[in-house]
Amino acid sequence: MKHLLAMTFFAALIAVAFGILGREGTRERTRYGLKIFLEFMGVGLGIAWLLYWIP
Amino acid sequence: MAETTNSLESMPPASAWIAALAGWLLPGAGHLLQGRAWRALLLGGVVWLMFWSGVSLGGHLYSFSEGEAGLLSYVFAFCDLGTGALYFVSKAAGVALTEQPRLPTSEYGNVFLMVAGLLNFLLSLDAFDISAGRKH
Repeated sequence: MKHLLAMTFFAALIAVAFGILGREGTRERTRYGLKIFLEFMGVGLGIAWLLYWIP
Repeated sequence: MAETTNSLESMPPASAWIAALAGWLLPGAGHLLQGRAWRALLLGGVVWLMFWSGVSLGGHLYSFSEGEAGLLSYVFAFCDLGTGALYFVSKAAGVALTEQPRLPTSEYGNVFLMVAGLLNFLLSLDAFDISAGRKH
């Protein structure tokens, strides 16, 4: 659980930073930050799931 | 002569270099110097939080004298160095000096610390670009 929390926290921090640095305007920043967050979580969980099957 | 004047005019102002240096030394300070308090609070806050989390998770700061740990440790040390004063103060205070492999989250901690440094390099460049008028 602590691993998942660390990953979620990491993704959230990166999403805030990239959202502010990468886009202009509150709406665009929010959308981009959310996209980055979901991508980090999706890729992280995807890789974790793949590694689960590797002995 | 005219070319020299033009090249001097296209040079970024001194304030851009000062903002970048201040931003690197103290995360968020570059934007604070420009009067962008919210940007400084949010972006600087991310770096500070990430650094503090890295230390809490058991990460350690690499140094350039750890050459025997392999060439990658130089890259890791460069990433950690991005946190500026946080790196030097932690080193001087003896915080996050040694690896803690017994902690299951120590590798996460290392990544948090390195990414905090890399993010702060980005913040520093952002402060530079804003002062140079390349970004709003």
